[in-house]
Amino acid sequence: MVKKVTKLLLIFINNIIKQLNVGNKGFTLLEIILVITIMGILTVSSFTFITSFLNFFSSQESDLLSTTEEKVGLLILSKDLFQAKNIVIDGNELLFDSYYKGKENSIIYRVYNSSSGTALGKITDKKISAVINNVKEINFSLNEDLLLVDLLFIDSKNNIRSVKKVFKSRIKY
Amino acid sequence: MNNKGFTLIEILISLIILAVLILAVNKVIYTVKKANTISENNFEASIYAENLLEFLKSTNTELNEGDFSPNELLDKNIKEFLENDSADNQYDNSVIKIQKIYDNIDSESKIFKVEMLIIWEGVNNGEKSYKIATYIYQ
Repeated sequence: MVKKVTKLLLIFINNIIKQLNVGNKGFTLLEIILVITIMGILTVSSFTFITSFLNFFSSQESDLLSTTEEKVGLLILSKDLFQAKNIVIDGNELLFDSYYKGKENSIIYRVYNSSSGTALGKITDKKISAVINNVKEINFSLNEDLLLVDLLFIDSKNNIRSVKKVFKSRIKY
Repeated sequence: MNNKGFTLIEILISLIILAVLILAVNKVIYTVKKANTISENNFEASIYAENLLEFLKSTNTELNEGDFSPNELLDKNIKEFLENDSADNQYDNSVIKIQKIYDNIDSESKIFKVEMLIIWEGVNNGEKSYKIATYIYQ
């Protein structure tokens, strides 16, 4: 019985080998070169397509992030200004006294050169921290008890965008 | 060399698959761009609404009941400051509804309810709006 099965198995394997050997001419050099060329073109074009697709998404994401950052930055400025007094505008700098970390401190807002480009910085206790990144310019002006802030941002496509904000303060200028 | 080539059916099927894939990718890009534009427009409208509110809170602004457009409320200086060079009069159709909800004659203190409907023209999508409401004590 075992011998019979082994014999049948050998015949089956032999048949498969014979079938595989039929038409074993292989590819010509021209065919191989043609296939490699087409594969190369397809790989390069698909790589370019995928890269541009990913770039598009990352630029959209950074636009969204910068919008959120602007909103948070303006909120920080608004919170500081809410209890500000002695507000002074010196060129493109905004100086005032406000409560910070439980005590009254002098705070300065100005555009400075940070590690990642220009940013709107907040100076307290001689330390500067970035409030909003990619700010090109800031202009302050006063109108009675309102402080008018004109911010110029640089977006992910290097376009300059303006955001104008009005802040109500407790004091009259 | 087997030079039979592709059949018409094979070519058509591959073209249909390719077209479906290109359309799907295009749709994704369009949706992401649209979502981003909506988000940016909402952000700008919210900033405009906050600016109007800050102006209304100003001690110099006297509030009266009624429905107003931004031009009727804002003073000359603030109007000039808020003017956007790229999109002139884009929020002109907005409506600010002011309602007096408390009036104490003795202390001359009043509380107003302010509802703002900031309206702008969306790209290819008709009118868009952003609503915000608050109370102002005077």
